[in-house]
Amino acid sequence: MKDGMFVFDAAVHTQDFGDNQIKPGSDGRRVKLLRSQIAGFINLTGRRGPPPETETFSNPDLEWGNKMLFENSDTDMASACSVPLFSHWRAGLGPVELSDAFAKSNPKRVVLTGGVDPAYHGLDFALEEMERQVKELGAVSMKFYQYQRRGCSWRADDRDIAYPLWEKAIELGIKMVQFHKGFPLELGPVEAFKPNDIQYAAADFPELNFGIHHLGDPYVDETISIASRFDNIYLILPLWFNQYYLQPWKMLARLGEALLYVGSDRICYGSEAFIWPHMQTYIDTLANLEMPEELQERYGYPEITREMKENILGKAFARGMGIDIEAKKIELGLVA
Amino acid sequence: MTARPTISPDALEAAFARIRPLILGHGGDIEIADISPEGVVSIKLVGACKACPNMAMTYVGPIRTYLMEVDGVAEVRCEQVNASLKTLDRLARRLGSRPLIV
Repeated sequence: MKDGMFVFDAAVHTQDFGDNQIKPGSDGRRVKLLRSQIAGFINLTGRRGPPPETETFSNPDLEWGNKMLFENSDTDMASACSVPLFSHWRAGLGPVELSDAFAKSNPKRVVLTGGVDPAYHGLDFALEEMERQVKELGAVSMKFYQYQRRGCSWRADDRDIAYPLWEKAIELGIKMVQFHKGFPLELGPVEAFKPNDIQYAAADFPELNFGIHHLGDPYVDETISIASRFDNIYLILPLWFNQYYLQPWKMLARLGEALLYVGSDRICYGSEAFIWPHMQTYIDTLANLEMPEELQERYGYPEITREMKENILGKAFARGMGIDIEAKKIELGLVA
Repeated sequence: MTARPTISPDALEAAFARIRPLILGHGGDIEIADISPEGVVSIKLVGACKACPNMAMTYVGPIRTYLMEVDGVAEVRCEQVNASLKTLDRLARRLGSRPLIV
C-alpha cells in the first residue's frame, strides 16, 4: 500500500527476448529488433534510480521479480500479462507459460492474464485455448495483439472472428479483455493498432470490460474520445510512467485529458515491469503528482486528488477486473 | 437563522422545461440523480451529452444557471464533469453566468 492506497499493477510481463525465441525458419530479425528497441527505450526513458542489477527485461528470475514488486515497492497486486505476438516468435513474446509461472509463484498477489490469437491460430483453437487458460491455468483476463504479419490481423468488432471470443470470455466469467493499442512491437504497421475497432465491441458487449493499453499512443486523442463514450472501456497506462520522465509536460497533458473526459475510475496504473524494475519510482511519482496550474488554467484539466490517485493506483483496475479490493486487503493482511 | 426554502417540484420542472429543449436538440437528455436536504441538486447527463467534450459548458451554462434560479437550490452538481472548480469558475465568468467561486 502506498500511504493507505492499494497498488494494483495492471501490466507486469515475463517476456523472453532471447535467441531461443527465434522461430525455426525465421531470420530472427524481429526478435533482435524488438530486443534492441526495448533496450533503447529503457536507456531513453526508464533510467532513474539505481542501475539495474542485471539485464532485467528478458525472462526474469521469478524470485527476483517478486522481490522487486512486493518487497522493494509498495505494489500489492499485479497482473502477469501475456503478450500473444506469435508470428516470428517460438512461444510468443510474452509466453503464457512464463506469465503463468509468475502468477503461480505468488498466487495471492499475482493474477494471470492469458492470450490467444484467432487469426494466427484459427478461431476454434483460440476458443479452446482460452478455455484451457482459464480452467486449467486460472487466467482471469485475456490480452490481445491483433497484428501478426501481412494478411494476419483482425478487428475486435469482427462478428465472425472476434465476437465469439467475447461470448466465450463472458461464458468463462472473464470481466475484462485487454488490447495492445498504438505503437507496434517490431515491424507491423501502426494503423493496425488504432483503437477504433473497440467501439462496436464495447457497444455490443456492455457486460464485458475492454482495457486499452498505452493510451493507444500515437492515437491518444481517438482513444480518450472513444473511452469517454463507453463506460466499459478502461485506459491502462503502461508507458505513461516511463515516458513521464522524458516528457513530463506532454504526459501530464495526456493524463489531464484522460482525467477530464474519461475520469479516474477507468484509468489504471501499470508499470510495464520488468522493463525498468524499480517500480517504486513510478508509484512515488503518481502518489505525489500534481496537475500544474498552467495546465489547469489553459486546458481545464482537473486537480489530481487523492481519490483520483487511489482509483488510478488500484481501484479502477480491480473494479474492471471484477476483483474485490477490500476482500483482497483482508486476505493480504493489509487491514485488520 | 433563516430556513432554506423547500424546493418546489413545479419550479424545478419549469427550470427543466427551459433546459431540456437545449439538451434534446443535441441528442442528449438530463436526469435528476439526487436532491439533498441541503438543497444540492445532482444531475446526470445522458445520450450524446454523456461523453460530449463540451459537457462542462453545458453544465455551467444552461443547466446550472437555470437551476440556481429555483428557490431553495443551493448548488448544482454533476459528477460526470471532471474539470476543476477553478476551470468551471473561469468558464462561468466568461459566459457571464453565475460564478462557482465567490
